[in-house]
Amino acid sequence: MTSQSSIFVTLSSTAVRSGTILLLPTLGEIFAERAGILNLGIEGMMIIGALFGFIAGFVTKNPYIGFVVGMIAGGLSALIHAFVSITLRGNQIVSGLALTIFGLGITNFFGQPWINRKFTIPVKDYAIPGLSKIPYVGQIFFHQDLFVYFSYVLMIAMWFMLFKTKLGVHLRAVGENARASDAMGVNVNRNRYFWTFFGGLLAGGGGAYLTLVYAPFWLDGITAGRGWIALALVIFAMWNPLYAFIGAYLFGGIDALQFQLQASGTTIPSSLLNMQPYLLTLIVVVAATIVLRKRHIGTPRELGEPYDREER
Amino acid sequence: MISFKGINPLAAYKALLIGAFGSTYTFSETIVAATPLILIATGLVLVFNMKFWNIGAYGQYIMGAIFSSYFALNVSPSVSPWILLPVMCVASIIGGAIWALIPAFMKLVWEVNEVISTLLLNYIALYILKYLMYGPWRNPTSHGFPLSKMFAANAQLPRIWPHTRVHLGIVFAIIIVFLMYFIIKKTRFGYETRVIGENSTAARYAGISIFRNTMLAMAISGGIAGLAGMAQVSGVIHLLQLEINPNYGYTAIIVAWLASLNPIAVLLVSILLGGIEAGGSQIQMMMHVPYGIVGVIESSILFALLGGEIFKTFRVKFRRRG
Amino acid sequence: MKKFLLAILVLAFVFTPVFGGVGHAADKMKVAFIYVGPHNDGGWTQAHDNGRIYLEKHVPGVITSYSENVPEGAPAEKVIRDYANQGYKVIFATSFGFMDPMYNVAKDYPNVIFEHCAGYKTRKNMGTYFGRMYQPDYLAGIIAGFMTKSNYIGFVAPFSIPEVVREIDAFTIGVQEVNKKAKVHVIWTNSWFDPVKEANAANTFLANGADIIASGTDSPAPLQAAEKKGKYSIGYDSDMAKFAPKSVLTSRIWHWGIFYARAVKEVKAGTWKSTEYWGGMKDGIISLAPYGPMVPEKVKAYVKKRKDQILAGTFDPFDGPIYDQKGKLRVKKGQQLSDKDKLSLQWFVQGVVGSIPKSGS
Repeated sequence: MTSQSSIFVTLSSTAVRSGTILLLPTLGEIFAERAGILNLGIEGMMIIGALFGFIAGFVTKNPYIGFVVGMIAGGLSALIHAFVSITLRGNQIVSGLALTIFGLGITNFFGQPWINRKFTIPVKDYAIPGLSKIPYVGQIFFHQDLFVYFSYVLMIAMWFMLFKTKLGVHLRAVGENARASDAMGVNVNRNRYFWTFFGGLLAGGGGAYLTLVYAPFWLDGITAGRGWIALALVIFAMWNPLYAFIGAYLFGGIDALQFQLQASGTTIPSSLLNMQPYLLTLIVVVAATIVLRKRHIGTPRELGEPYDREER
Repeated sequence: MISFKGINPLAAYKALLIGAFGSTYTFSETIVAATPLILIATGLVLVFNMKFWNIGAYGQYIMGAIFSSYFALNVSPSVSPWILLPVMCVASIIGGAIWALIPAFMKLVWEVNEVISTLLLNYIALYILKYLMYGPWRNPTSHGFPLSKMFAANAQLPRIWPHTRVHLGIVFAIIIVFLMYFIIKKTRFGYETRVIGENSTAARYAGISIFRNTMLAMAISGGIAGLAGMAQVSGVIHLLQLEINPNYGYTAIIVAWLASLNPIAVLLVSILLGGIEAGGSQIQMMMHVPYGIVGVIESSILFALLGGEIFKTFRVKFRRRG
Repeated sequence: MKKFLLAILVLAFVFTPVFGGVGHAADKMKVAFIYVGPHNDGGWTQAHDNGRIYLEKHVPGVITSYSENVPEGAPAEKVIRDYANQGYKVIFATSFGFMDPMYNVAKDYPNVIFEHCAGYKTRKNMGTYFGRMYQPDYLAGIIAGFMTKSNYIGFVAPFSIPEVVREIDAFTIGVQEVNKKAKVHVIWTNSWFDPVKEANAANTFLANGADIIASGTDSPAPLQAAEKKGKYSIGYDSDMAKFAPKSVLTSRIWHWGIFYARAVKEVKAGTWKSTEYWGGMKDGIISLAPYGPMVPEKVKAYVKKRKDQILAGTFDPFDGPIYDQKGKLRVKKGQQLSDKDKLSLQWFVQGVVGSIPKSGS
């Protein structure tokens, strides 16, 4: 039998991988929401990225090209939402829901010939010199593939950009108070367009990671509701890229945990276990709001509100 | 928009229409699908008017179904339906209302964003339903399948149109639509909710209680969604199971918005979207195209309508300037 | 209100193209299939769709149609009724969740034949059909029992319904018959189809030392997870070898076409009667897929012996003695678990590690 600690390490490193599927879209949505655009279409963008990333990877036999194409596909689909909610000032909730319906529909339609195809090019893991030698942590976090490392770098870069650069100040200003930032000379709509697109890129990337690495084949509905989880994770992270990984790996890990309990014969009803992450997120959100009472926990003030320059 | 892949879009629409409105029967099915949409969307209109973005109708619907099923499954079949059905209605309203009051309270007291909390509560409701169906409420004679016992006749909402599945729920729905119209347009409460929606700071200065109004509005909105859940299990399915189609909770958001938050318009838009749902199956049946086409059509219609919203804004602006 | 007018406009636009009638192919018997997933899902639904194609090929004068991704529950009733309305003579519903909808429709169309897969409600014009998948499960269990070295076998299971419990039990009986030390561990994913969850479940087993992963769910994800770690796996629904050729020992597969062709022929001949069909390997409705190259001849020979006994009807995997998980004797030696008990099976046999969520009263 395998020892307890090595089980822990293996399961944790799996949790990091399956958490990456969620982490990428969560990071993207954090920025889109920071800029004031609520996009409920993550599920739709993810599955679009999953299909087109898979197709591109399959055709070129290169997972990295596939990943980039998946990102672009996700980004383009986000532009529909951007156009409707920014230029046309349509209702963002409805537009996001429509985007999800659209994504599921279009991938079903164009995915038909690709069902049952398998992506066979393995994605290599790389050990990071030095870091990978740290006990536990090294095995869990630094024996991963390039996509996982990409998500680490991205997370830190995004945090830095958001809080330490002028670009980040603009981004936040646009979501907090569009009128004031407009007065400051920030182009509100251009910012919002870009960050919505950016959100789509990462959602598409998350989907592509799923179909190119984690479950390397295409099947209809393969994202199975993960876009909605990402939406919850944005709140869990309180719109801070640096906290996003906690929620993402927690969700990734909860499967591992409850499956571990089951595999060892424990009798907790799995529906109650599956409920825990959502309950926990709710508690975290409430607790964070109470603890940081009166302080801003990150919810962009003008989230979901269209901006019209001429309206006074 | 669906002329790609050599599919004739006209034929697709035709199939959709035949499926939705082609005969008395298909029209009756459109009504069946529209019933929960009308109910839920009418409730949403009230809270959307106050800019409270309740996207938790999904969970409220499930809780309504669960609460009412408790009585359907535990009350003796000999009890008069005149007693049992009202009890189930009340129970479902309470169930839905509780599930709606949680996020309302969180928002009002702790400023927790309601989009987030209602979304999370949807999942929690779904897992409660799963727990019940795989655990305590599973019918021992269903061969272990996750179904509750069949509701006895006294727990079934009567069907009101012979040989179809149209049930009393549609009557509830129509009554509630007009009631809601009256509440929003003619009562002080309705007026106050609209003021809060327009400008909550101004409302506060005018002495309008945001707490009281929001709680009441959410209780009503969630209660109606709960009632829709009861109407579905008691009027259509006749038992509690996992497939009670809570996605109506999301579709209803679209309905409420398409109807410009007007309860009367909700009635018509629900029939339109109910028709797309009921007719969608016809497209693949007659044309042998993947079912995804229905989603593409539906979302295309939505995007087109969303685009149309800008004209409304222009008009409003024009009026303001004039 | 503008938006509402626009909605009306769209509605009108939708209305315009309604002209003309619908053409029907005359003289051919129309047969419909209701699918819960996409017709080419690579798993459960595809197995049924292969059956549909088989039917068209082998029974002349038949024209088939299908609806895929039909939601279970209330909306399914409309789809089934639509087919009945349109003159379809035989309708097959291929998921458990279609039971009540079909049962309701069947009442109103006494002249249409309804067949429901995996359920338990029948009418004069509505039969049920299913396969004794536990037979191939048992044979696959034997292979797993021989091939495991760590004696830790993982079974990725969807829902704790009798069909799945039966599969796990039969599989374990096979494992234990040849290897008393091997245990079958169970994880419920609570979903028929969620590749990420299924892969996670498989990875959990692998981390715990499993060297064989059996799948009872519909996606190939668990098999691929096993292959990635260089471990063996056993597929389900259709031959899954193409997804993980180095890993898949065999798959337990459906051949629905044999039943579909038979039922439709009977309807044509007027001899169809409502039955609760539960076909075994003898009928050819189920089988094991070709073995992977890693399965030794010795194992194949043992499996063949048992398979021949099953085909001859001299042996059933649920022949006593059978002990449950707690060691209680459930089926005495010389006796057999009845079909009724098999169909509502809710206990695990000895050798299974895991539990079934409790059912209410």
